[in-house]
Amino acid sequence: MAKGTNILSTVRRRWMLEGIVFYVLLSLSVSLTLWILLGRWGYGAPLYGIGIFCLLSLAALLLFRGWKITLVDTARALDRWIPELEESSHLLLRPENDLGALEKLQAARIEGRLDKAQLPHPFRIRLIISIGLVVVAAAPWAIKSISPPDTHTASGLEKATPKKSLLPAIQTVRIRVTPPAYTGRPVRSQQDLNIQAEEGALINWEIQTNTAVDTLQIILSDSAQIQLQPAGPERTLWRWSTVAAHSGFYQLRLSKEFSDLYKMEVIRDEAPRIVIRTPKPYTIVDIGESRRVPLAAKVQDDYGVQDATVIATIATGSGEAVKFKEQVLPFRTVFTGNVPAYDLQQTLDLDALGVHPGDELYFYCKARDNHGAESRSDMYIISLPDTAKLMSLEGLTMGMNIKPELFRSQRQIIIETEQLLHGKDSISVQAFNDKSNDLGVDQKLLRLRYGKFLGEEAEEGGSEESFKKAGDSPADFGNAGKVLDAFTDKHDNAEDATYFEPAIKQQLKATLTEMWNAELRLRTFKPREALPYEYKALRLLKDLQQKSRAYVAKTGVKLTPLDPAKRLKGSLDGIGQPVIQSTRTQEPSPEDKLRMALSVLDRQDAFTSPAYGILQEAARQLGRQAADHPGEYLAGFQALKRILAGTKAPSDAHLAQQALRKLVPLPEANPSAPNAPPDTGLSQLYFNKVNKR
Amino acid sequence: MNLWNYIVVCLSLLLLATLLWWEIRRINRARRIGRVIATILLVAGLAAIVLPVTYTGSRIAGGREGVLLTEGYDPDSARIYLSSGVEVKDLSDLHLSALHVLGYGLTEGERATISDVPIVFHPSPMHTGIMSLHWAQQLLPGQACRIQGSFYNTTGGPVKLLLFGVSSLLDSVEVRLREGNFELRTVPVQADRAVYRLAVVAGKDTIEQESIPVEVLPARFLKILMLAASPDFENRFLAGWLSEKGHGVVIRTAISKDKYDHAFLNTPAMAVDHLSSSLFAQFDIVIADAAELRAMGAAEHAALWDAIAGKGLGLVIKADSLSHDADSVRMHGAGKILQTTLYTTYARLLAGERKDYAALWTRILQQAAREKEGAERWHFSPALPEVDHPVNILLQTAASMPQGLLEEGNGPVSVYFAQHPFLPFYWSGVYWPREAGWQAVSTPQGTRSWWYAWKEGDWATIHRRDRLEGTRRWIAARGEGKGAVMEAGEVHKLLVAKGWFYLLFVLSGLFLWVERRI
Repeated sequence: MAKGTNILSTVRRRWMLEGIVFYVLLSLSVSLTLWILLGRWGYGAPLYGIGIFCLLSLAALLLFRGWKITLVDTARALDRWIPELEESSHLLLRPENDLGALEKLQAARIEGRLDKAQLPHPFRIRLIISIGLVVVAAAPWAIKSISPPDTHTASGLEKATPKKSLLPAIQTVRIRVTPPAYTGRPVRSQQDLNIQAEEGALINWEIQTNTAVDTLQIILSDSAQIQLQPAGPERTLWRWSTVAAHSGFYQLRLSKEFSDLYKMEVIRDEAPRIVIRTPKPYTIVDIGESRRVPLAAKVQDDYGVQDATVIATIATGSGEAVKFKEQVLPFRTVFTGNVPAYDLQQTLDLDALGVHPGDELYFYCKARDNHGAESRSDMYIISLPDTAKLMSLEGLTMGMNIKPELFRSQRQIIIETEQLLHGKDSISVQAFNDKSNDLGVDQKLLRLRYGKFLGEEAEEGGSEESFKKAGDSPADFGNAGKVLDAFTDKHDNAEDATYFEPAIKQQLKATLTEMWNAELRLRTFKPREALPYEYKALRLLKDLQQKSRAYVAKTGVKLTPLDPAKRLKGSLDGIGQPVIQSTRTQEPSPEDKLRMALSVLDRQDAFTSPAYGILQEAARQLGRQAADHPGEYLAGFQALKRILAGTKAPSDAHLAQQALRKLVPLPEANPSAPNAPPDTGLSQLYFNKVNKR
Repeated sequence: MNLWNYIVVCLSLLLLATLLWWEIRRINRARRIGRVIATILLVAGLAAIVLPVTYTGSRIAGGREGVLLTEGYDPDSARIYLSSGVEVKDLSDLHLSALHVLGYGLTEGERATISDVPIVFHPSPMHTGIMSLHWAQQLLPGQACRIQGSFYNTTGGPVKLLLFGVSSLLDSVEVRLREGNFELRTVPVQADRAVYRLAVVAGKDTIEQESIPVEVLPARFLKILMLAASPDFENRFLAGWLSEKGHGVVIRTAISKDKYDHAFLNTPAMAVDHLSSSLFAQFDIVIADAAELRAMGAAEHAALWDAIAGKGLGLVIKADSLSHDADSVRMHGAGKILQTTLYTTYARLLAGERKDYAALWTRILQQAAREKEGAERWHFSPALPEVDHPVNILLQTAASMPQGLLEEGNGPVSVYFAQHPFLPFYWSGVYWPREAGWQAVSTPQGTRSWWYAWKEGDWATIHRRDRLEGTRRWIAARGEGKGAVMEAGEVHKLLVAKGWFYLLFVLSGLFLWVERRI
């Protein structure tokens, strides 16, 4: 019995599963078709397809409801599918005790038959059909999306790699590069004949030939020929070594055969690079600011930094009495000589260095790498302004000044603030506060005074526009006077002069900010805190005064032509007339020859004798460049040599052109006589006729 | 209707009969009518997907219609027209009521041979490509090569135009719009002829690749006379720069009353104290201070203005405070007069801005310079000559009975010219280029000039557009006086989009399927 039930539940599961899969596949095929159609009308987003698929699947599953199939349904269906069951499979579902004797007998019989019978696949054919439908529906989309792989290259210019052919007689070449000690790099061996070596590295060639060879030469940069000595009597092993000093190229020569050209690039040791992050190149330490300036720098080298220091110079005094004092400040970091980069910190304590107000501290960083190459940073300046100097009237007596009494007022405020602080202990708190408040009022008046220069009328300061719009009431509409007022600058009235350059206005505004800060402190009875702001305002005002001086750049001179009628009436008999004559060569310059070579290479036809000569000249120039920069020009040089030898590869003209192109600058503009059609007399005739009219 | 259509209709009818039979025999009678309608629609949709369904309007009444298939025709529309007309191969002898021309239209030669027949033109849509283009094939040294054109883009995405030359990328531009203009610019570095390549790239596909031949002409030096009222740096530096560039310069600087400082750079010494027409004839440009012009005698003055008006001499006046002439550039007869107020351009040279200095003075002098008359001038049409297609050569020369020599692989080929009936200096002839590439042309006495012939199939989109526009214009012009010419817009036979039938098929199938589940 239990066995029968098992079989029934297997069939049920299969029915359910296959049904669901079939309906999902069916809706997939329909939704794919719809989606492709939608795509043709411009709604081809995948989201639409997925939406349709979800909707259709949901609808199909609601119709099918596979999960609602019970064992009883299964039994009924089985009865229909397998006639041998004699419409009795439902007996297997009933508990054994409920069955009558005949029913038991029948159930046992059915169970045996069911066991032997081939279990049906209710959806097999439909599944196959639905898979087919999906494939058919997806076909147009698949064909569209799998486009043939493109074989075109964007440029159409072949990327050519120079072929590496070794002379046939040479079996192996081993090159050992021993980098110098300062690089800290290990010895390396290579088979590739193109060499990259550090400056000063020892390069060893070991060339093994198949047979005994008479002579083997190395030709360096097309000039020096070096005869190699065999390492044994059998003359098959040859060695040579040299120290890498210059970049260039070389070539092997075996009796009469020449190899390709190979690069020998020398990597130069670079001096350390120093970057100072703080402070800025020019720093002013104002009164009240910290006298300890942090210094942060980064030192980098390609192999290792040996040492780094700060060299500080203090300039004291002014005019001809300037004194310099130099100090060396080491960094606290310990340098090992093989670390390539250091982040360095140092504090410049101006007091400890002995920098007094009015002095300037110049400093720079110096670094040395482990190969002895030294470099230094730019000069940085820290300036400590002398407050006493600001108070002097010296600068005000010369040049232009905007409003002398205003400057005096700012200075007066500072003097009185200092006096107040000095006498703080001898007066009452009330009197101190009153005096401080008075100073604040003075500062405010001064600020308002300056605000007028900027066109600020309101007490709290405002923009220029608000000033201009002051007369903007409806009653004034069409009042020409008011309109003129708003749009004209009245230079003749000093009080209203608003004609300042933007930079000066900016600085004036900065000055006002400082004054405002000072006023705030004075009014809150903190004159000591106000002092730095007062000084800063004064310094800015002094700068403004300097800025008002005009600078006129020197321009060219066009002399007034002489009037011979009035001047030079004396006897000029003995005076000769100078004549200069010079002729430049009309030969094409080396650069022009390269330009011609570019054109000859472009045509790629058989070279006539002048074209061959042009290419030879180009090859000479290219060879010189290749000796200095083998990485850039060697491939082009080799290609050009092959072209001249008549053994060119298809890409050689491209390689040679690319190298030559790097050598030739863009041509400079040059006037040239324009072309005109041959003279047929027609235009002259026309001109004459028109003139007659 | 051909055999294929009959087969399809028969099969569909068979299918319909079977399906309807099933529907009628069906036990469940609910919604039978709906099902029958759906079945008919299903089969109709299926058949319509396969058959070319058209809707027709008024047709040309009576007679036989011919169909001419030209390059780029649409096979589907061709099938429709061929189903009711005959395909035409021979254009010379047509006895038809109308001729349908499909594709990009007729070439000029075909247009000439076609006999009197009403024509209906069905142009095919254009493909992505360069539609028009212009560039100067011959450039002066240092002159920029500007390639301007318009582009038609049906890819929907951006298309890049890349200009390659002497093995490097020279310039590139991206076209995003459906139709747009473009400009590529480069200063040629080579000294002679070179063929640049213009590639059209969409994504990773190269759509089009064309050759752009460019020839840099050899420099033609100017002869310049500078008349200075006083020594100054400006003239000295200008003369130095010009002589360095190879131009011949003569400077006459007044240093005292009737005393001059002379300099002859790249020219033999000559007498320039007295200015005459014969002296001016030797120069291309005169650069003169305004004061020096005022100081000239009447005879000298007349000689100068005659040389400008009659011989095309250029005059560059360096204006001073007494100059009142407001024009900066003007024509005077055959010559040009420029006025400049720049006295301190040498400062640029001293500041190392040599390129700017060269550009400024090139611009000024190039405009003023006297035009050099060549012995002959060649024109070739069409603008993009093709191999194995006739090229019309127009030669402009004063010589009598000229003869064209065109160099080919085995010796030059002669082209004999016909003289223009009214303009005796125009000579025309026809030549068929044999090989693609640079072509040399000359007269027996003259110098060699170069032109270029393209491979057949180059500039496909431009040729197509030319043909299409040409056919349109030709039909429009033909319409006058020939009556029954139809415009392409009056076509009344159109394919119904297959998508509708596809949709009909799917929807009716869906209905039938769902109905059974309910």
